[in-house]
Amino acid sequence: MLQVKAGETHKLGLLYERYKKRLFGFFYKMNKDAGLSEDLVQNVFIKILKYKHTYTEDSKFIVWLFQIARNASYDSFKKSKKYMHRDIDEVGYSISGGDDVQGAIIEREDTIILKRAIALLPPEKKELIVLSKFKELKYREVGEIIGCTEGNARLKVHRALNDLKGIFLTLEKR
Amino acid sequence: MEYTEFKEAIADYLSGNLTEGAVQEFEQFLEENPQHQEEFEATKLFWNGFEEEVPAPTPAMDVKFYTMLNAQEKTTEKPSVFKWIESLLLGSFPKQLAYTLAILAVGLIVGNRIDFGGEEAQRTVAEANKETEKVRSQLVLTLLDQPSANQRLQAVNEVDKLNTVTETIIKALFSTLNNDDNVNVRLSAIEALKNYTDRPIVREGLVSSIIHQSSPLVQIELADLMVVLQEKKAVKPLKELIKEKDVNTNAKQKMEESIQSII
Repeated sequence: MLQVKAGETHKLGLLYERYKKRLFGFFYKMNKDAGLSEDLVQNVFIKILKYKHTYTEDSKFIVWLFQIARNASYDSFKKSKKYMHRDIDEVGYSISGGDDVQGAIIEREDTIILKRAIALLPPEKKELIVLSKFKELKYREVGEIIGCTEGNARLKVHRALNDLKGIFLTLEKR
Repeated sequence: MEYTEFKEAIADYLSGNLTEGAVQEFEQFLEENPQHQEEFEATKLFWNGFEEEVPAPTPAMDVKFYTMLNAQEKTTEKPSVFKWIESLLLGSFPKQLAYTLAILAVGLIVGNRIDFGGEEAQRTVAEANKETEKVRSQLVLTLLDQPSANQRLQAVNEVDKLNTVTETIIKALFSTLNNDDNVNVRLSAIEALKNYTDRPIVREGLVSSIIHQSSPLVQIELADLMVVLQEKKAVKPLKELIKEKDVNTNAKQKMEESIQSII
């Protein structure tokens, strides 16, 4: 990245090849839209070129990358207004009313409930778990990305997981 | 470890945030207290619920990115006096392409309009073709030096269009095969060189480039080619490469199979 910052723009291709799948996976897990996720990956790299002067050696490149990715993800939510509050009944309908009815029947019931629970988890909490699942991102890095301390990041991940359990149990009882 | 500590540590364990010692302690607790296994498995189920199948991004994403990158490179290129002179002498790729087409057009017009008689016309066409080849060769050499991998790939593809390949181009292809950063460009260089394996210089060059390769894909491609050529001289460098520490297991296996096939 430092070489890109120094003007060797073509070196961005190496960074792109190294991180494109992880970035795409992050966006896809957040918005479930492959086309939109591809556009967001592109936006992230445009922003890297635009703001390359702000990159410093103080933080890991992946932290800086996901800070940009996170902003891109929120911007797209705002623009498309796709992120709206969805209640339990709505999500239940959208999943059971999908085309893949046969597949859903075959799938074990608790897996379906879990998927519904994940869909209901607020995006900021979902994002925490998605980020924590990257091997390179420990609580410290997750904290740097979302702008809080390491301890706070740990607490937030724990809470997000507990919230998911809570939603799961509520759905299971219904 | 107490139960409350264990309960708190489940998420840390799953997210890889425990130290080596803490991981051992955690696993030991779980082994000694199987009654908590169910609780651990339940949290693991929630954690793994996020590991859904993610589709692969389409090639269109790569195309968009590299188009953006190329456009960016062109706008950020600083104009210097040397660059200006160089562009005046050599010209950019579109200019060179235009020259090539212009020379071709001149050749065709000359051939069509002027009747020099059979032999004369043939000579003119031959000269025009020779000129085109020369320009194309120059184009290949210039493109191979470009920082963009796309343009270097284009250079290697241009080689296929040449009727006669000079030693300079062969050397440039080997330099690409041994030094280029991009694996795809190196693989294309091998593809281009495959057409000239009847020349001793190419066979020797391919053999001596084996040891320089660090990418498993390139190693496998070269190993395959050596089997096709039944090049016994390749056995020694292949064996040396296998001995190296960081060689990929699959590539190593492939090279061993190739050595067997050659012997």
